[in-house]
Amino acid sequence: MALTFKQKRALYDGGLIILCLGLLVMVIWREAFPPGLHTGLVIVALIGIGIVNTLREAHKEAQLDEMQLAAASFGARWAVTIPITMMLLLNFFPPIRDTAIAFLEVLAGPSDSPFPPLLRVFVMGMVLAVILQLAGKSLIAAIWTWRKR
Amino acid sequence: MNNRIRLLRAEKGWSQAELADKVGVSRNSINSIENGKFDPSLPLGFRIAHAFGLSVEEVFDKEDAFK
Repeated sequence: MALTFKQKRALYDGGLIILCLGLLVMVIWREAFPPGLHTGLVIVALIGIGIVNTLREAHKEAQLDEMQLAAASFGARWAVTIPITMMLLLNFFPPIRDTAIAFLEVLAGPSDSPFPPLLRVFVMGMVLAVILQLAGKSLIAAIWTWRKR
Repeated sequence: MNNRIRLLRAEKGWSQAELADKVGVSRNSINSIENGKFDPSLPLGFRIAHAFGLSVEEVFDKEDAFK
């Protein structure tokens, strides 16, 4: 029996929630698993989350009509302008630059983390850039759709 | 591209959502096409015209394509 669009969506959503909860349980109750098994299970959960999420997004995209695809495409093409604008503001606009420096000083300060300060700052920068780009993509697509009303 | 979709829809008594459902797109897309803010692809143009039982040229203003 072929599944309907809604049933497939529920299946992907459910799978993703179960995998995320499983990962959370494994991270919190680390000592409940033998070390080798724990690492293996975390890797399997992460790969599973990646695969299910990709399938879920592909399934969602297959349902988009041509205008929604045009909006998504426009958003993806121009999303890079958001992190670039933010980077320029961080470098040349003193109030934002000072706030960023204060934030980085805290991040690079003494910590129990096994990672060196430089790596922590670098990873945080990468994560922020990705978040900004993803948020920018959605925002630009929404503005494009709104202008076409 | 100018078109007669709003008029034809009113004649049939269809809402934007109903037409969207018939041609397989979102209501927002029908709204944008109706307002001339978004030009549909050729297949979608044909589907819209077919939903009204008309030809593409009877629904869309072909003069707009040459401006």
